[in-house]
Amino acid sequence: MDETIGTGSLCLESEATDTLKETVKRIKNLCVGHPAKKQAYIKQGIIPTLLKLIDRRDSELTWQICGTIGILANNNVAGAEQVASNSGLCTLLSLLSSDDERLVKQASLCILGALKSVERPAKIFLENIQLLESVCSLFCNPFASASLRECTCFILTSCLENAESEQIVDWFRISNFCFEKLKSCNLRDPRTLTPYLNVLKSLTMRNREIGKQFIEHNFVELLVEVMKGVDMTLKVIACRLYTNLMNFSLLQEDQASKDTAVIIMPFLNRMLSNRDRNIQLEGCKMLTQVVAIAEIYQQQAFDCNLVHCLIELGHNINISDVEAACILLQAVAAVCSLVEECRRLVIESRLFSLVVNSLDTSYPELRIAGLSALRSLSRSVRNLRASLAEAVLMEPLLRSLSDENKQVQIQALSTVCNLVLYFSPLKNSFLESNGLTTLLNLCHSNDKSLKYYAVWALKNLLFLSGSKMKKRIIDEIGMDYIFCLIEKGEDYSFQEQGINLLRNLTCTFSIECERENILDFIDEHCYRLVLCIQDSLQSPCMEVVLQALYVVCNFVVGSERHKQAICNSKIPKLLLNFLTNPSYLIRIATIWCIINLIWKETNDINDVSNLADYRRARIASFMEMGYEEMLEGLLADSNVEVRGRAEMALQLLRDRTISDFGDENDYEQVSRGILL
Amino acid sequence: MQSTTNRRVFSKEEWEKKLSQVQVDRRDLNLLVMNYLVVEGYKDAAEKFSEETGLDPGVDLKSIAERMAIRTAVQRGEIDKAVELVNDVNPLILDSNPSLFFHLQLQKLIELIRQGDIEQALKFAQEELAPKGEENPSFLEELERVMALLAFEDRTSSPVGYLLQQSQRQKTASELNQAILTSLAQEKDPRLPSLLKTLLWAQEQLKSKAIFPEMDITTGVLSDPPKE
Repeated sequence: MDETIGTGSLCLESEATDTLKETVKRIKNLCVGHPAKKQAYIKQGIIPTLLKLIDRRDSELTWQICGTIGILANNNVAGAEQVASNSGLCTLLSLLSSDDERLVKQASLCILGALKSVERPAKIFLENIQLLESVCSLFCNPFASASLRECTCFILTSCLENAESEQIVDWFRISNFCFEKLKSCNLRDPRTLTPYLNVLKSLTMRNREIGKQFIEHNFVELLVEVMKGVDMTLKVIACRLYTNLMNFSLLQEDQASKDTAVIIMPFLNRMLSNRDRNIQLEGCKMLTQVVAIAEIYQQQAFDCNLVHCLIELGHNINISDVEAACILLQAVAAVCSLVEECRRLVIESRLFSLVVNSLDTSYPELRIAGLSALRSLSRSVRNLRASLAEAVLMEPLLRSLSDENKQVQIQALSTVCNLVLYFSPLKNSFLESNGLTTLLNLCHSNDKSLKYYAVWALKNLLFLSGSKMKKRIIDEIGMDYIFCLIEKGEDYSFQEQGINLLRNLTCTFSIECERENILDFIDEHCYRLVLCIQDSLQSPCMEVVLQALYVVCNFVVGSERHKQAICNSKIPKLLLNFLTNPSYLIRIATIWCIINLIWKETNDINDVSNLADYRRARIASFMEMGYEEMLEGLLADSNVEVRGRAEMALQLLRDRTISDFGDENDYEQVSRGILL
Repeated sequence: MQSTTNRRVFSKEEWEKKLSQVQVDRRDLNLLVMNYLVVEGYKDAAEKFSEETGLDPGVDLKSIAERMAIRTAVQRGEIDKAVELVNDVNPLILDSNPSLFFHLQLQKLIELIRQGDIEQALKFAQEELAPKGEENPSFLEELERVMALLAFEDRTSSPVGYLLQQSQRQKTASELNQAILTSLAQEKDPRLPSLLKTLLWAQEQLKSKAIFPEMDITTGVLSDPPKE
């Protein structure tokens, strides 16, 4: 053991103040830049000893002690945690209200050094409200020095990163203080704005009201000026704050779009092209935040070459650098979520290998980030036909479906949702790799989220599939499963998914064949299906109602039996009410149901004869119910499609020929898969 | 007027007339001077200039005094004293900047070699610097360069003799000064050199398009335009 360590510790027991000061100073100078010596002193228990020696009556000694503690805690987790313990922080925070500016500065640096070295600096303050309140008061001291402001600013922004902090302090007191300071700051030296903008940036992350007040105080122009400035730290803060305001739609769209294109995107380009890794990663995080707001910003990112910057970064980031790889992949996921050109660039670059390789790492956060990026890329219709199909994707993707980490599974399922759509070349690959079995197992998962996404993927798989595929799926999962989703729906989201499954199952149009036969199992379960639809049409959830209407549309196509089953239920009465629903989508879907119910069929799947007689009887029944008057009323509807379809329905009702108003292709079959 | 190479030609009189039409605010000039004095650490000059112009230096002049004491210590080769003084200003500066701290320790090694205290130099290199060199290849390279001084009898004339010159102390002092300024959230580079660089660069660029009287930046005097 280093001799000085034993000697140093012993001298701290001396009562002579001068000896104490010298010893403390010597320990400080010995430990600067020497992690091993720091560790040795910390193990000896020096920090608690030094904290006990703090004596506000002796500023000089206290000042030295703060300097030494600051060094011991800096970049040393053990030391920092000892300092940042409840009692340590209380002692040090109490020094911040001293009149001795030099002491306040030293104590601030000490606290800052310790907090920056612990894992979760906010935790201490969130668990001790009094401590946090005292920090708030210190921050709001109008005469606080720069170092005190910096220290309290760091504490407040760390706490505000945590959503729990929202309810525990009156943040409006803080924001009002910041607004006052911004008004009186010296704009010739924008750095004086830093602590106030920094705190406001953190406040506006979740607090729309404060964001609104920021705008009401007319600070947006100031923010734009700062964003155009030269101070990197301040520009980052200002851009983040601006993005927070955009997130809450508090800025005028045109102005926000212009400022982003002219100031923020070029700035992000410079950040991503900077040689400093920290600046690059901060740029990635900011890019992720900005482009998530709207598609236009993803387009701007493309126009400003930011995708190229990400690709360049990908060349320099090794997958073993987990933090950097995660941040980069999250940026890829965000920037490629809606814009095709962005996806094309990434898929055609080496960055795509990073995406694929991330699926196989041992770090769950990296697998999640990689799958998130893959999910965005898999929305690419054109690119799915080529590059993605060539990549060795399926194996790692299927492994991810059975991952031990639930979030990995959810991301994998979301990606599978996109990859199994009818136009995807990877659909067959998924089925050939036994993906269906895994998917169907997940449909029975006890975990609600997993089950939900699995059902969504199943729905997409069924979208425009041929009868063979549908039969195979129903043979494995059973119609009962689908009915249970709807009838015993855990919540509306599951009911909606169940109804969507029915919708895709009942659609007789597929990518393989224009007119498929209605499936046996649909016919077999006809009456249960009608009851299901009838109940769903009475759901308080409009999305469930809408999907149920689409099922009716599909279900009655080409089958007199199905048409009669519908008309023998309460459904026609329900349809009448929907004609005056506030949602135009519901009105349109309802009119299509009516059209399909009274369509002049030429063939019937059950070879029912006298189709015309049945049709006439149905029309007479509709007339009696008042359909004609209701449809006439819709001729003046505000929506043009409603008006057009209502006219078509009326013509059918009045038994005109098809050629009078349209063509055979107007017979609506409604089925839809949705890209996640 | 056009030259035979199609570059515009400006006579000295014409050029001076154009320059005289450019307005430069006196306050901006004073700010530039104040900025230079503050960043470079001329405390007394900054104080006097502030009194005479009424301009706020924008920083605590006491901090300038501290910086100057540190710079002077390095320029005198008193590295331990400089480290102590820096640690008094802000102990985190050196602790958070391993490269800077290593350069200061290298300077200490250079001073020990300069004083002829070879035994102490070797001990210091072995105990303090070699472990850091093992962790960082660029540190190792720099250490080897300094240690090369020991291989020569006439160290000053050796290929690494420049390490013993005042300019090396100056370089270390500047690096330390910049780190202190950064920690105080102050500008670490004065604006005046950037302005002069811009002027020289602009003159070079303009030469391809025009013949004009160039300014000597040391005297501010315009020369006659060169003849083709």
